[in-house]
Amino acid sequence: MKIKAGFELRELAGQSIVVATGDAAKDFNGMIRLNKVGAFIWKELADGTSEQALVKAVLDRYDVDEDVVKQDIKEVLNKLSNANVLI
Amino acid sequence: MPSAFWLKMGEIMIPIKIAELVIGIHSESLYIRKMCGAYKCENEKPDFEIAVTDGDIMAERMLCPTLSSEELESLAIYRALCLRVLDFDCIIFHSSALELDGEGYLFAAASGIGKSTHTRMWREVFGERVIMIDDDKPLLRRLGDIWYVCGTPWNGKHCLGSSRVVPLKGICLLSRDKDNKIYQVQSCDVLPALLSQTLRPGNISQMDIMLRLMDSLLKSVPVYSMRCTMSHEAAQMSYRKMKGMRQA
Repeated sequence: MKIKAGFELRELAGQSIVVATGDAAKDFNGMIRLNKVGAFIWKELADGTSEQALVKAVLDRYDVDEDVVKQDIKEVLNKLSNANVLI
Repeated sequence: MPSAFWLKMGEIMIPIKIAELVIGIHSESLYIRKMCGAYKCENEKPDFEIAVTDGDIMAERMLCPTLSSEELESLAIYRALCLRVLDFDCIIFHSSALELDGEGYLFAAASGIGKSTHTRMWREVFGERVIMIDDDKPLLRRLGDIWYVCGTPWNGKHCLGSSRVVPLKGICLLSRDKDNKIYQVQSCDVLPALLSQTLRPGNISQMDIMLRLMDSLLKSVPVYSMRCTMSHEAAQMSYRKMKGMRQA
């Protein structure tokens, strides 16, 4: 799974945000705010990855419990999927 | 003679000066000419020119189907202008902007909340000390290290504005309430409200320029959040807070 073309991660006032450009902007004129881990997950997804690989990437980088990460990733992916930014 | 020939002959370039830029507006519309009248300049070479196509006007109609053709042309011109001024460290910021004692104050809110009413309260309280800069769509421009708020012909249905260019003192996000409260906020906490007041370019390189300018703006100008009644007390409160005076 991967982030759709046209969604861009940027920094504004120290905050990670996602904005849409090009065709993506026609259906999405809002803005997604991400915390540090969110931005990390976004970058992994931008290159294309799987749910399993995503869990591993977060575990490799952050000292957190595996079950918690699995649950959180599920939630994040659900949210992004509902926002229609994943393919 | 084909009518297209006459259209070409009739086309007029209106040079206006806003935000310290000379901009040539191409339009045949009397409405646009009237609108730009107070901002016209003579004998200065335009920094750039704006001409819109029927397609641009049609695109505006899709967004605002109820507006007249002239209003749609005006919007199309301003949209093109707002993208072009990005190259001059300049962004549009939808708000009601006024000047008091040489400093600019911006009030932004969703449509119909009362930003224009609030700036009217300032005029009632401070009288002739207040000069309206732009009641609807001012430009903000960085010149040197300073951000200025600049009046434009796109100044709302009551045509409240002037071609002023004034250092920006503060930005206030306004909402209605039963009581009056104002406090300074971290701009990162109110990004959706701030970003929705500007034009988001569809093209990524222009989007990046806009975001860099917005970042610079938010680093140098304080942002306030205000909940208020439509009253003179609210105007006095926002003035004291944004001016940096101690609250009464």
